[in-house]
Amino acid sequence: MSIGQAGIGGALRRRYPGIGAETLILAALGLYVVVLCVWPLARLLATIFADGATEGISFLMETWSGRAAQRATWNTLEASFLATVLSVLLGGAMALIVALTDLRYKALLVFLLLLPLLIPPQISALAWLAMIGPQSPLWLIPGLEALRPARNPLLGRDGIVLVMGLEHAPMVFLAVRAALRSLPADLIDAARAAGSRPLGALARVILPLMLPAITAGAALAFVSAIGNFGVPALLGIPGRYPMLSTLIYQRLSGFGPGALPEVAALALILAGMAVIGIVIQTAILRSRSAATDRVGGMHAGFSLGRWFWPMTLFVWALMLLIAVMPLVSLAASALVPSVGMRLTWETLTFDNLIYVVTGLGSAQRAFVNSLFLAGAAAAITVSVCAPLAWLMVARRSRVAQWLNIAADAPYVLPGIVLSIAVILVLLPPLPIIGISLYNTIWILLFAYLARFLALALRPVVAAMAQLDRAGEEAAQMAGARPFFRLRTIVLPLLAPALGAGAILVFLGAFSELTVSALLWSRGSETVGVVIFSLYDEGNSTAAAAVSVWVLLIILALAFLVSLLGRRLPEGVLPWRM
Amino acid sequence: MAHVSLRGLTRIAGGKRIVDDFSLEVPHGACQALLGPSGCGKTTILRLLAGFETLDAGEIRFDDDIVARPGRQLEPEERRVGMVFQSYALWPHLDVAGNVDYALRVRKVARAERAARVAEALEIVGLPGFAERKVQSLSGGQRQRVALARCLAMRPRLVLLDEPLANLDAHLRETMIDAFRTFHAASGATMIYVTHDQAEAMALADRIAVMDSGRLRQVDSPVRLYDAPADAMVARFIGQGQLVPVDIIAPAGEGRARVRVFGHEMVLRCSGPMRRGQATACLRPDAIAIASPAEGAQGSLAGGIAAHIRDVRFEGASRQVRIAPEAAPQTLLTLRTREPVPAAGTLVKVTVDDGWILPQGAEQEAETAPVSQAQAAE
Repeated sequence: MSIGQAGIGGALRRRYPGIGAETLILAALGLYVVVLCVWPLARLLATIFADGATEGISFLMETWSGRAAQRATWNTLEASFLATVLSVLLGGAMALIVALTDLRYKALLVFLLLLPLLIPPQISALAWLAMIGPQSPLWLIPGLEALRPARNPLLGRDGIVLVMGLEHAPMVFLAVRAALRSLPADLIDAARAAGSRPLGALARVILPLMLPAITAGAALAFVSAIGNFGVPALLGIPGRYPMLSTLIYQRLSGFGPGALPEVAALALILAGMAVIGIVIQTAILRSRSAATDRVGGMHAGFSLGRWFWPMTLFVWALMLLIAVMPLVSLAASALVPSVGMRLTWETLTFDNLIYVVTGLGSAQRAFVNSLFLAGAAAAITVSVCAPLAWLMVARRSRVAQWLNIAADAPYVLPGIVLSIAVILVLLPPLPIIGISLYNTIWILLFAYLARFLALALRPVVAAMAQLDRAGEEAAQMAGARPFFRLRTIVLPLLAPALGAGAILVFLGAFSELTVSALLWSRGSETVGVVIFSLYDEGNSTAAAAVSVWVLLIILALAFLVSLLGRRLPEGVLPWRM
Repeated sequence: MAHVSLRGLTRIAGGKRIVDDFSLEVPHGACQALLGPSGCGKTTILRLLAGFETLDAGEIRFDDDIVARPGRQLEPEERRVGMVFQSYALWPHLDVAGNVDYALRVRKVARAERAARVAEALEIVGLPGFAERKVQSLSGGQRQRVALARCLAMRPRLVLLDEPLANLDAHLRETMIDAFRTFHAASGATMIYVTHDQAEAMALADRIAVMDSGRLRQVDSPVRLYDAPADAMVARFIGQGQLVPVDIIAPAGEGRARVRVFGHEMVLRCSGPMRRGQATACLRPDAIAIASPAEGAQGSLAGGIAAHIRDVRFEGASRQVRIAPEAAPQTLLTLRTREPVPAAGTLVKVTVDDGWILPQGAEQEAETAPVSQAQAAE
């Protein structure tokens, strides 16, 4: 009946086995995060500052004073700034329109707006090239034939700005929409009651309150722009507009590992720029949380009145132009026999689509590799996320909270920085086993695991935080020990979020280019790399064909995760409507 | 079943003594309520008992086992304590049977016995045949019954309940009170539950501990708590008691004393012999009455305390009347009556049927809290 038989000391001593299990899990997770996320980045810093701070800084200055480096830095800042302006205008305006007007079919509108989150940058660039290029079906439209350009106008700065600006607009959109959602309707109604017309309320009440969200979204878009590789690689390299990410890529692939110290310095400069943007964004988000308290519901939206049809027409025409047309053009360019041909009923062929998965060795290997890498990364990442989120949220482990922050670093820093860091740690033979992972597929898996841990961790932590703590406490009262609780209570309740996290990682890793571009080797091609190299060789048709396959897989998975989405707690899926 | 003893419990959080030197003995099979205003530390004591919080001083014993003391404590899963959460905390991914037999699966009880115990527990809480139901399809009252069944099936030695009736409407409360009584009888476990609602505490508990600011003020049966509050806080918190200054004139037999209240002499109850002089008495609204006008017209001292009617609030079954005694016009006393009441401003005579003189030495706080604020403690 009582546990008294064991005596007082015996009863108290039973505390320790439970603690031991938790400590063991925590230690394993700590090792995982430190090896993947901390070690490479620490090594990058150590490479530069090996001889001391002054030497390190003078080496950075020396690298940076080179003409190519200065030009690339300037270009990076210029293109990223202009792209951010475009992202803010488009993302901000669309967020206001979606949240504050009575426009119809908003769910489809939001899906089209957020499509760029799903489509890898190199495919977006390829699609835009196909749409604006001389072979585009756009110029078949009567009246537009005269506008048909001889050379693709997207190659160079303007194209980079356009495509990156559209690519990162969803980040501003999501930030502003989240802020608008938490904006109490009373504030807007009070402005109306005080005599403001809708536009007056917008200018004097809504926009000032949205300023922090807009700035935070802009900082995020800027950080993504300076780290973007796919767009500058496809548009900037042929357009002779080098940016830091493409300069690093060209230096390392041109000169080999001998160029490592120099590219490490360039990567550090790039990382420094990203850190500034992240610090700004974090600071704004922190100060904002205190600013408005969420009371009352969301605003139902202003009636557009006689502007309803003009606005509807404008918004959908814009979406058609920036979201649908590029993809249609890309598909069209994959359906013609060779580059430069126009798509008609006579030229329509599925040969390319079939060829890239049956006849083209590199593409076939790439599909197998990418499916394997993305699947493995998703499975491993998710099995790490569950216990980490549990320790962090339910057990309030300080160490786990630090690990969560550490896991963010490889995700928010530019991918090219991570790949340099990973090369630095994996090029020399590993301790104990004595073999180098460089030039194998495992270096890619290592980099993906580091890069995408945060991507899955965020939704899982968000879902964990929304679980009723009493649920696990009730299991404790029933006598369940940590492992048993984790298995029978926490994991089943967390399953939808874990599934979503796995699919997010899979989506991210499947078409990854930025990190892979420097880490792949013959035999370990990935689909992102193959699209880039096919395009680089001038085989745009095959590149488009591979892209179409990738898009099909991505959209199917996104559809799957949206089905799952109904069972997910709020805040887990970025594109949830 | 366990004798639970809390000795000198202290819990400090954020520099504040959430629970401050709290001692309480709960005998085998008792149904003990912890009653107090929100923020008084009662929920912390519940979580200390469950093992979700750690002690800064003191110790908790179940029978002769020490389950917690500073720095060392038994994990919640080792305590064999059942808890009914305010949110019920049913697991949505399991059906009713899955919820109820969870503790049995933890202990690797054989399937057949598990099914039998689930059926038995559901029978006791009045949900026979609900084993296959989804938790989401249940109403609030049914969910609480499932939570009770879950507790029952694990056969705990102590059951903790967190505001068990707070989420239920008035009608459900009545039926749930019966369910709790059946549950208590069936489990035989010692029950401790926290509430801020005195009606809830009195309906269920055989013993109530009143808490304030982390400290224990009084432990007693519901009747004693109402009739003989130990100090000013308890007097005000329970039954809308109002504190008035009295002048003790002489003892008047066992447990009684002759006092002067607002210039009027009467006999009130007290504990043991009292010193002559100043003291504080607790008067309940139901124990004060307006004397009939005929008596009042006599103008004699025996008619009662002279007071002006300040205002009247109609409450359906009764009227709540506030009066200001002529002897102390700043003081407001509340009384409850079913009779028609003269208009505000009328001078009436008021009689006091019953009152309790607080033990001397416990009234310091009363002087700082004017009587007119007594309603704030409702």
